Parts: sequence; structure tokens; C-alpha cells
Amino acid sequence: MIEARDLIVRLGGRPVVDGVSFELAAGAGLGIVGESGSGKSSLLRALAGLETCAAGTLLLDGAPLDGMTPRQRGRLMQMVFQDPYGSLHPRQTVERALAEPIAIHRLGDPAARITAALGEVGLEPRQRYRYPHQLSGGQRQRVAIARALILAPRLLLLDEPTSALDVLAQAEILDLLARLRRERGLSWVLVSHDFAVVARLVERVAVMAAGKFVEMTDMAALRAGRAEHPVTRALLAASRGFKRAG
Amino acid sequence: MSALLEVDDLRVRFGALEAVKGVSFAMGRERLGLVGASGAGKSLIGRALLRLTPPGAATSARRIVFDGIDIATADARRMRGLRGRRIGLVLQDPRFSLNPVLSIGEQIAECFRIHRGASHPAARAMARESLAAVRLDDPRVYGLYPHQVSGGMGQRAMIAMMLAGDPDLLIADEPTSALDASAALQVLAVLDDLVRRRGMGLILISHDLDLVQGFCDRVLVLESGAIVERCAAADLALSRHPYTRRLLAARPRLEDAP
Repeated sequence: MIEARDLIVRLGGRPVVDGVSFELAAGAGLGIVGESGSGKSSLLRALAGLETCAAGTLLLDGAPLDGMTPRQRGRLMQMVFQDPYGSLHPRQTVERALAEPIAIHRLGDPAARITAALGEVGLEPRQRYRYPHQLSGGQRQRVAIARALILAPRLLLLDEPTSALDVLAQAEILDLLARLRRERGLSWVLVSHDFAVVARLVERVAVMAAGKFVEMTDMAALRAGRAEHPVTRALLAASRGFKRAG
Repeated sequence: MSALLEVDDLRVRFGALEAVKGVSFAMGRERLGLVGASGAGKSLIGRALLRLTPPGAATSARRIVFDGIDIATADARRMRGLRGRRIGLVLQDPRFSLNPVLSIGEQIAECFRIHRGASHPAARAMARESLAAVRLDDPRVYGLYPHQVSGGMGQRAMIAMMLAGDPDLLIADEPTSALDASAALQVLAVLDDLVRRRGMGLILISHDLDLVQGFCDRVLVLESGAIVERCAAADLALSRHPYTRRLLAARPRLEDAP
């Protein structure tokens, strides 16, 4: 699904993604874990075509990303961002947010599609008339997921999809994502700073620091406490929670 | 243990909606965790203790007494003497709490001038000391502006600023939830160290039960504006209350399978 080789993304001349290579098979999932500023979100944005790569090759489903039209890209992959408040238009209802991709891609029958999409993410049909500020954080994230899935993409890019939510909403969204993935056989890339969140959704994990993949590992190794790189070890300790000194 | 803070029947109303429904508790110089989901009213309680509830909120209480001072009836001047000076507040996101046009060091020095009446040179020296106390020892940090530092550094700068008042009680409202896991641990280690050494009381507001369990002595669990459970942090895992159990079960763990 994804073939990335020596990707470099520069922001203000500084490489924030510095020579990243990996492959993702169709139907597989990859977690990218790192601290703030490690370049993980920039890498995800580059995969989505939201950042331009300064160098390297990026093939999605065998075709170069920069050769695709925005519409082809939209059908192939969709992204869910950390804060749905920032990614949903504050003056548009849920219905309008969901109708837009349908109109752009000329899919037809918007009413039925919107009802189905809302049902799939566990929202009531009447919630289509709500504005983002009338929804809870968890409901807003459900709308963002419904919008991402309404075009039936094969690849989903998730950027900290639950870190703006409280524990209860987080657990619901993680369950929802896990179910959708099973049902649809999606490929996905999940960015997070928390191994415990990643554990719910993927098996294979890349640890990122200073723009590079410093360790490629899997959840089984992490659960057994095996971590090579100091960053991996620090994040692993952090995911076990705070322990009081003395 | 004599009470540092006593709250009796605190209520916060927005029109017909009662967001905090008669909350009562007392605490000494200990670490008290306030946990609950979004909208449980935990942040409002923190604000009400400083009389900083948002416009439109009607706050009432039979009594809120901090170290012999009745907060419910204190005049504005008295409150100014409490806020930041005797009761410190650290909020979730340092990007919104720090002044974007003053360097980190200068805004900490400003607090020392205001709270301690220090001269400019003395305040600068004190600001450097308190930056060191939160493990921001690199001398360059003093001159950096908030947008030039990471979230974890910004939050530690907020804590350094709070030290200027040398408060007896610190209210930390989700102090680490905008931070990545490693930065969160660093901030918690700094808080842990300061609370221990200065003997402050701490109210830690969080939705993260693991965090509260590891950090606090005692926990109040809030659901829809009311306290549904009070227990020692060590006993949290044994809780039988259904809401507490839900919160405990919701936290993702490394052992979860995809």
C-alpha cells in the first residue's frame, strides 16, 4: 500500500523528516511513536500529500503520490486529525461536513450515505443537524472518522486521534477504530506518543526521533520489555505511568 | 491534620444547569486527586476555589475556607492576595498561559517583583533559581520566548512562575495532558519534588486514573458534578463503584491486543 524510500521533508530549511524508508502491505497497520518534535506528524502529513517531500520516493498503491490528482488521493486515503474542533468547520452542520466529500466526488444519494456513515460510527441520524460545538469531543471525533470513511478509502492516516479526549471517550474511539478496521480491512498508519494507545490498534511500530526511524519493533517485543534505543525505552517507561519516587 | 482547605456544599450553576452539585471536602498539606470524565465539573471546582469561574456561572457554597480565610466572602483585594501568592494554579496548556511577547525568564522575574517585591536584579536572579528548580538549567532558556520552547519546557516554566508566590496550595488542572508521555513524566517528577520539599498541598485535576493513582494520596471521583467516591489512592484499584471501575477499565494498556 505504501512504499517510502529515503523521504526527506524540510520545514524552514531544517529536515524534520530525515531519510525515512518503510513499506506497508495492504491491510496492514503501522504505528509511528515518538516524542513531540520527532517529526512523526510531518511524516504523516507527507504521506497524505499535505507536505511536499524535498527528496525520496513515495509510492501509494504502486503509483507515485505526486502524480495523483487530489480526487484520486481522496479516494485512496483519508486522514483523521488530533483535534476535531480544528478539522470541522465551526459554522457547518455535521450533515454539510459529510455532504461535501460526496458532492466533490459526485457519488450521489447523499442522504442515504450520510445516514449510513453516521450509523457506522455510532451516531444518531438526528445528530446530522448539529454544529461541532454542540457535540462532545468524542462525538466530534466520530464525525471526523465518518467523514474520512465516507469515500471508502483503503488507507487511513490517524494523527493522535484520541489524545484530545478523556479516557472514556478515548476507549470508545479506539474500540470504534478497531471494529472499522476489522470490517473494512483498512490499511492504516497511526501516529501517537503513547505505546498503550498504539497497542490497541497495531502490531508493528516504528519509533521516531529527530526525523529518523530509530527502531522498528512490534508490540510483542515491547510487551516483553525489549527495547533497544534509549528513546524507545523512555517512551515505554512513560506508557507504564508515573511512579512516585521514594 | 488541620485542614488547609475546607469546602462545604459548593455549587456552580449555568442557568438551569447545575454543573457542580454540592461538593464538600477538606484537605491538609497532602495530594488530593480530582478525577472524572470531561464535563464532570472537576475544572470548575478548581476555578471556584480561586473565584475564577467563567462569566455566566453562578457559584455558591455554604463555606470555602482556606487557611482561616473565607473565600466565599473575601473582597477582591483579599482574593488578589490569595491568587498566585497563597494558591497557585497551573493549567493544561502552557501556550495559552504564558505571555507570548515576554521572554520566559522575564515573565518569571515579573512574578517575583509582584509577589515578593523584589528589585529587578534580585528578581532576575530568583527567576534563574526557580528555572533551575524545575530543571531548566540551561542559561539560554531565560531569554527564550514561549513559542521557542516545547510544551514540556513551557509547562515547567509555568511551574517555575508559580514558585514565585511560594504558595501553600497548588491547583494543577490537567498539567500534563497536552504533553507527550516522556515530557509528562518530567513535569510530574518536578511537581513531585517541589510538593515534597516545600510541603505544599496539591489538588491534581485529571481524567487519568493511572496518573492520579501514582501521584496522589487521596482521590475524589466526580461524576456529573457530584463526588461519587472518596478513597485512598492506593485503594483505587479495589474500588467497587461502577463509574470508577469504568474509568479504570477505559485506560489503554500495553497488554491490550489489537
